[in-house]
Amino acid sequence: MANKVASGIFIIVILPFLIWLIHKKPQPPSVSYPPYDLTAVLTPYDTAGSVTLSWFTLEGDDEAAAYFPDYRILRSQYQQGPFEEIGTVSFDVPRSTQISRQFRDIAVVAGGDYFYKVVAEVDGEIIESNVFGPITATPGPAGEEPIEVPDIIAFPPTQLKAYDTPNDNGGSITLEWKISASDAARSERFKGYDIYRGASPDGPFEKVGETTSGVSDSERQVKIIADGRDIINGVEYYYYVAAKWNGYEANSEIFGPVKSSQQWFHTGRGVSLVLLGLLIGSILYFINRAKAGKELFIRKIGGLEAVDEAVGRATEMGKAIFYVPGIQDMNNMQTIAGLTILGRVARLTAQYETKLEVPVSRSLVMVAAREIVKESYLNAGRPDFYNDDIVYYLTDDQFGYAAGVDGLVIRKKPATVFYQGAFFAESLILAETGNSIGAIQIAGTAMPAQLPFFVAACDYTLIGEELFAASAYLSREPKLLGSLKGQDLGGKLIFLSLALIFVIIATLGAFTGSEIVDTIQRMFNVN
Amino acid sequence: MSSEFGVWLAAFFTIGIASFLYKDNPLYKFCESVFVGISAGYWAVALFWENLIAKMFDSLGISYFFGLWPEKGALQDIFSGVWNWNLLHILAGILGIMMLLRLFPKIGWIARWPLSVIVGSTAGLWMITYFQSNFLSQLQKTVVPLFDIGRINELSEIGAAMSEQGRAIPFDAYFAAYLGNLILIFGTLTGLVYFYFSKEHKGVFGKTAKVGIYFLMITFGASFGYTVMSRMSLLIGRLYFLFSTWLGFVN
Amino acid sequence: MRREIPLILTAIVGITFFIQFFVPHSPMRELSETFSDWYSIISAFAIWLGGLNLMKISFEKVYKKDKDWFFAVTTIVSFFLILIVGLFFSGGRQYLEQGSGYDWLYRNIYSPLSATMFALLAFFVASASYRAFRARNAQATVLLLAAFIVMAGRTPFGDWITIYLPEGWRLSNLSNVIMNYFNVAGQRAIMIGISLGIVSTSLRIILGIERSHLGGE
Repeated sequence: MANKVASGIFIIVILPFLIWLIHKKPQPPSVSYPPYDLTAVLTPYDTAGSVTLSWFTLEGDDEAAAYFPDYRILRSQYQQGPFEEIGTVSFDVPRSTQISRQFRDIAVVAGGDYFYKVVAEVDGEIIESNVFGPITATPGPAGEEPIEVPDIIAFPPTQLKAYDTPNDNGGSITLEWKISASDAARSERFKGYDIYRGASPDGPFEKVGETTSGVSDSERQVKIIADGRDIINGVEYYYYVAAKWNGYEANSEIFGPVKSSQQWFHTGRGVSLVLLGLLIGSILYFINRAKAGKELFIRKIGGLEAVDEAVGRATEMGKAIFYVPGIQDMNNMQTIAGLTILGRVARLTAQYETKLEVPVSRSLVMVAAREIVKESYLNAGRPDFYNDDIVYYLTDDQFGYAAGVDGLVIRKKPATVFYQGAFFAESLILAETGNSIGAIQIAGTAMPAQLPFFVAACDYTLIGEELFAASAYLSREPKLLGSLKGQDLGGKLIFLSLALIFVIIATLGAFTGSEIVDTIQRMFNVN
Repeated sequence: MSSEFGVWLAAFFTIGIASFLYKDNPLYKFCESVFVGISAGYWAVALFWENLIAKMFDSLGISYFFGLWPEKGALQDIFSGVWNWNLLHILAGILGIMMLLRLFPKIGWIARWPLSVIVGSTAGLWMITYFQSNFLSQLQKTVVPLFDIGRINELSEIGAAMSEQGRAIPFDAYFAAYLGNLILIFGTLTGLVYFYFSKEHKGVFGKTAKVGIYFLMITFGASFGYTVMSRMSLLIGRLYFLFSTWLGFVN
Repeated sequence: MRREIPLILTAIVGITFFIQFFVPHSPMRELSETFSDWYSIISAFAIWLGGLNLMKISFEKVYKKDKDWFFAVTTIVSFFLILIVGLFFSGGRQYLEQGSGYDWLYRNIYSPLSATMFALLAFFVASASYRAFRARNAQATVLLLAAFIVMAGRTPFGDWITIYLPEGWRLSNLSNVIMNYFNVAGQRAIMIGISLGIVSTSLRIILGIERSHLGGE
């Protein structure tokens, strides 16, 4: 009784709290994103020399806006100011992209250094941009016509940050940057970004990768990409990123130094460790209890109760039993689970001296199945009755195998057919053919899409988990039965109680409009 | 009518396999035996090039050594003093040969070694991937509010607009907002109770499990019905081949 | 040697995978990636066992003048045909390229055989539906009803037979509800059960408690 109360408290109170405690909290954004991300470039082909500014629009300044305060453009020759207003941009001025605005400063003196910032007063609050500069006004080469505002020119990506890729075995550095204002145009003329890496801030830099246009995180308008090209752990690297527009490139600032390293624990998998640990612990606990001789109740599983009867019927009729272990290989747990059932069935066929045939579609399955059947015949005291031809190979091919088994079934007319393992579309071809000759059919699979067909065409079907429980059930071995109890308590009971607790909390949270629903979702994130 | 030999061959095999629907007959037997032989060989060839050559001989650098492949492999790396994990593929080769020793009954038991390596890696890998994808992520999808507040709010907005046009809000939209999550949670949990092995299914528990079975039956029915149409399109595809590509009746 | 080493190998490899999931640090991840490749390599060796077995059985049939011995000959001929063409006469590694002999065999023999076998499903689905239709118990009726609603709801036929109902309240809408909610709920229960079955079976195998796959009791 005391045990039950303690477990109850653990499951209802401590476990949910523990999960909340260790789940991966959202990281504060690695980069702070000021509202504007002002950049400036020299206007290409402007022989008079002008500077074009670009910034991201503030909230509310969108195409649907009926009114938005003017942006005031300020300029200075020094970082600290004083800044003077050189122009304004009002909300009805055409813009090049939905989320960015441009301004051209033509009143510059060639050779002069300039700093810029943008300011707007929204709802009584003055919002200032970053200060961009210095930029040295330089006349462009003669050539084509200078591009007019608001036509796009190549603006650099901003806010480049690079950091060691988390939760990996090293050899990778993650970069993120706010996309270039030119990228925001979603035009085909934007050719994406090139990534450059160097061993010192002064270079030389080498191109180590490139990526397409667009954002990885639309909320922050950032692009995130990992560089994993020949990175040595512990070595310092410097990066810059170039935006490519119609033959032009605009470079971001250089970021560094940054090193990559290996991590000892995957921080996103704490919750997995707790829940999986609980499940494994529970299974081990009940296996041990069962070993100590504690009786365990296991409910009846129809498909498995029928195994004896199905083998018996074949014996009476003097016909063969077919065992089809699915079309997947030994790298599929369903195949392995299916083969454990084969061991039990083979033992029965050995005892009853019933003919068993196991056509397989994989060579490894053939080898494993022979070992299993041979051992079962040995254990049943009938090694004389065994020969390798009980298990034979047809083809690795899905439908080739189905065609072959269909032919065998229709010609040999077995009394009983087992389908245990992983099946795909051939499930119904096999099961309907078996049905047409009146065989008793017992199927079992964990392929959800094939279960309906087995249910419709077979006499008994082991559904999902029942396939994996079959070995324990048929052997009646206490240790194996103990594991079933363990997965009930450590898996299903935990699932049921966690689900109920968090559904209640989430429902209350949803009605009060709190963020708890998001937190709960995040707690069970698969990382 | 097609004049290509290949098309005639394909048409012959198409009809041959389809004749199984009538009954087992020599034509089907012929097609079946060709199918088994050709597909077994097909995969043997594919595995030879893709797995044996590419994954083993290329990655080890044996192909490079014989000038059959331009890229160096693990052996070249090791001799130039760089560790390469692919070197361990030598062990895989040894395990592969152990597998082939099955051909000799006296030492055939050694095939258990490679088998146990495969079974071990399958067990380890599936344990964690299925726990993540089928347990944790399903738990995440289940821990939602009983009612979809966002959708309920949306409904009243859309409802006003739709009733102006004289149209009713669709039934599925109502359901999604008010009952969707409830059914998802209720169905998942009762279905789970059905799978409970270590408690007798009687009383309230038994009734819950019974409800769970009905959910499973609806699921089976739904995916059955969902698949029927796509299976029909496969048949149409084959008929199209026969009547258009081969006989040229339809264009 | 025969029993202990396989059990030890299974445990070592299985535990490696378990650990690398939580510990990204070297060498766990590299090892698990290597082990994954091993399967491909071992199976490339093993497939010849299967091929040899198929040939052995077929030759025996021919030798013993079995009733269907002629069809065993076709199996042998087709197996060696594609094998020889694919290994020696299809440009080596470029064996998959269009115009190679292997590709010709694939397109004109293998592919129609495979596609037709797949297409037979249309008939088998029909016969299975017919049998389900005769089912007399409540569970089978529910299955059938759900199948009918979803099937009809996905075609114009479904809305046509419910034309007297207001738009938005017809069979296709009901079909959506069943697919998106009742069906998903059941799928989830099955998937969760499968994950528990897999964790438990894997654990038993790694610990050597379940060894029937190796022939042991």
